[in-house]
Amino acid sequence: MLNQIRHSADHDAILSVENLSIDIESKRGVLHVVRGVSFHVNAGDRIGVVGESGCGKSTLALAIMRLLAPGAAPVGGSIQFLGTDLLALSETEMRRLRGNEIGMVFQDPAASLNPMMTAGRQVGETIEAHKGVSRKISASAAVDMMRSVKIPEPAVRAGQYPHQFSGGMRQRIVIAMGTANTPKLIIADEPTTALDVTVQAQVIELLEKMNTDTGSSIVFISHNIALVSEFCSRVVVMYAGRIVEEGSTSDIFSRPYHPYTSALIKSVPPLDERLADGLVPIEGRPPNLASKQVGCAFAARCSSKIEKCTQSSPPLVAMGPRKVACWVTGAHS
Amino acid sequence: MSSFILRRLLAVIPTFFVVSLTVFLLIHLVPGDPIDSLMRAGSSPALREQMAAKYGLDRSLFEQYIIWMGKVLTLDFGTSIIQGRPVAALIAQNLPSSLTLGGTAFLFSSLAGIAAGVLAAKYYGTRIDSSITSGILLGSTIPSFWLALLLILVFAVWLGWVPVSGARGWSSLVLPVIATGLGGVALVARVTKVSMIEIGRQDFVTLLRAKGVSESRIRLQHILRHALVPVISILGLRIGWILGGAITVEVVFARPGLGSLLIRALNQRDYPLVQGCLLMLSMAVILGTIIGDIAQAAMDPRQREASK
Repeated sequence: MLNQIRHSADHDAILSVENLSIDIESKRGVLHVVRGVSFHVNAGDRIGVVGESGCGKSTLALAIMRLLAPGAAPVGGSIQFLGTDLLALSETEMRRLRGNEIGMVFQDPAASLNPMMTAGRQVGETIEAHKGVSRKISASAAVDMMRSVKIPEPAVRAGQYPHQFSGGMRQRIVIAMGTANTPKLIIADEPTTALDVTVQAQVIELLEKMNTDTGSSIVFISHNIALVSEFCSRVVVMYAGRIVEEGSTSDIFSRPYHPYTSALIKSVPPLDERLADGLVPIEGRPPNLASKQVGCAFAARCSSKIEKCTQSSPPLVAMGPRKVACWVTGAHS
Repeated sequence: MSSFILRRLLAVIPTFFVVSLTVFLLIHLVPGDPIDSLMRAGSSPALREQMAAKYGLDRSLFEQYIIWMGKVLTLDFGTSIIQGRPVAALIAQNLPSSLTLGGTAFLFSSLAGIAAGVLAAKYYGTRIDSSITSGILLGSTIPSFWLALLLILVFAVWLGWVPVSGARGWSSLVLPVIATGLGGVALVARVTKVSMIEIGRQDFVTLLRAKGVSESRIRLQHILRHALVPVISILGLRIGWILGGAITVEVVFARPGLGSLLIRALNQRDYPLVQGCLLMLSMAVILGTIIGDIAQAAMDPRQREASK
């Protein structure tokens, strides 16, 4: 008997995504970029969402913020934030949550900042938008915020423009902007991808501090499973719009069940580069998202596939505290 | 910033000489000369030569240019051959009327153009956008003198709301301003719209939404500020046209101004006056462009930095 998981509303849940599907209308047809994804984030959690580019992780993040580009829309499921269905909120209600209760940190800080406005104003704007305070108060709060993300001489730097900052400093400003109102949930979409390794570690440290100091839950989206393992307590692995494995970081790293997770771990250099003993790329490409998926989406690239893998899609089922969607290594075998 | 302005101003010097040479040659190479307008039928060739000598027209073109330039550099633009008055005085007399019309038309094109562009961008893809866009197409293709005639017919002749011509009072300014400025409205609106849409697609705008900043604030305080950078450089080019853009419209509405002055001087081949007017108009274009550049640099912190 299949041990199909049914999620129950969790009292501690900050965020519950239930069976969410997202389609993107494109010239070449409809792309099913997110296909029935469910996961929960509890208070103070640090959850990592990993997968290759195009697996739907960034779309998922934008969907939670309700900031999907025109043409992309949820076609099923729900997103509950503190018991409220975000998909049912009006645009104004949603705007009050953004930057206030749910903060987002974007990748590529160079493109995320308005080049024509001072860093201090851009941080202060988040506060002004929600707290109804004067510009003077928001300006001094912005300096405090910049100090808390460890920008040296924040009072001086607040008056400078984005191009006067280094990449790492810009990412700190982006973090300060996203978290200025101490949101209950922070969604960090590849916050370190554009940075070099030493700066990456500093940014991770900063997010860690934010998580412990304010108790904000963090959803950390990255293609770098090594980085996620450093930072997150739980990991959600996505492939072709589906969750293929979910569990605690230590479990997943010590014994990945899904062949895709194993491949992902082998394909990414560890943070400590001395440990790198040959990277193994994942052969092949992710499937075309426009097509209806028959069987496991990873089957074509999987070395341990069996006949069943190409015939029907494996559901995500619990294996102890973990969940995995695989006919071979999952609970079905 | 000040060294940037200084460098831009220094660059005017070579431009000035090229422009002055062009202006000079342009009028001298056209057939006909001012003596034709002055001589009565049947005057003797001797008298003709005497007149030519009086105005220095018997010398070589090169000599004439040097003499003219030497005077211009001491701000002496010479004396009108036909009207017998100093060119500087004639220009000064006609300048206020041209400035009023050109300045108002400039203001009209900037404000109406930006407003139309912002609206079209906000309602991109809707009927509001398509009606503004068709208006833009129409506005940018209708020649201003023909539009002027049309406006006179409808608003002055049929409806009688404003005077047909002349330059008395503000009501006589309405139609010339619309006729002169509509092309500018269309241009500014088009640039504003395209630039707003393009900037609205940039990543930082998504981040502004993620911060919970309201849509109207995003549009007016962030996107419009960026979108105005190319608009300002277009407007810089049009500052120069404040004086030159209304030439035909001035003639149609029989308004005094540099345009009317220039057209008359051209018909009479009044060399000093034509040269003076054209030099004035070209310098206005050059200075306008510089003002536009400076305004643009002042708006964008990255350019401000680079131009230090």
